[in-house]
Amino acid sequence: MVIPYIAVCSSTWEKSISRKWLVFTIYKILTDIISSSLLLSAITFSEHRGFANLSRVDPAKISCTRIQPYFHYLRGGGQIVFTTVIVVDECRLIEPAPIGNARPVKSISGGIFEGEYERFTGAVGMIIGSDLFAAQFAMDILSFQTALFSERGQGMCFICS
Amino acid sequence: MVYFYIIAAESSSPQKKSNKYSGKSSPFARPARSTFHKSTLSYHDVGELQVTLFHPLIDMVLVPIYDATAVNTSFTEVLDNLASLPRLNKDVSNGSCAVVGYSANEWRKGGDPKKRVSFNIQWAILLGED
Repeated sequence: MVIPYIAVCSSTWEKSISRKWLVFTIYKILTDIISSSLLLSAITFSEHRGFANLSRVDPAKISCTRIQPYFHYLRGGGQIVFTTVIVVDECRLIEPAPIGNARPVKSISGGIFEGEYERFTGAVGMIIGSDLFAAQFAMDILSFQTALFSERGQGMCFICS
Repeated sequence: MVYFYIIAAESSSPQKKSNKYSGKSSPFARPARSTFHKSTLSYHDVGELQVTLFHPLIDMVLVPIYDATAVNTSFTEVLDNLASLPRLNKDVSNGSCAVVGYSANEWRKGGDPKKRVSFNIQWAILLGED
């Protein structure tokens, strides 16, 4: 069931050498290593208890206000822990990366699956109520950190409405 | 991120310090003015401030990496039993497939109307390693 999905992904990812390598890697992972049922359920996962997939959950259920600047359910509750499947580009979770004189930051960055990325950015824009926002995007590579990101190196995300 | 500062102030007795200026005018004394009531600031104390930042404590922000390479169940079951998964003590290699758990926050910088979103990682699950 997963293979046709990856085939759709590869149609746009094969524009560069890195993309071809990425597609090859995913094919290799799919066929050799990962349980296909676990990968498929992780990608198509919507929400469960306090967890949600930003690419799949209904953004109308999630709110973000000035008083509560974290993403939370409209029905109440605390912070939602979102899940996203990525192909790791760089991981510095055990050994944090030093950034100049600033404090070290633990981070992981990686590419999101094609299709999931568009859903992801669209959901974020809808939740914060803005068609223009800044986040840790670079092409389709997302970065997750233990601290707020700096002004330098941030990406811009434009959503055409 | 938690920072710990240890502030140690070393001070000595005011009496000892004031002995230095016995018989002399204190350099901290305000000169007398004819129109105002004479007020003299007395030499009180000199403190030495030491501020130490403990960098190793920064590593206390724990971001666990769980290993689900041997798991063959659905993702919701993995989330339910997240704490029971084995932990990795090394960074995930490039090209691996992983699930990232994170919280999202919106913030603005100063008077800039542009909204910013930060993704703060909580944990990661390794699905397969290249």
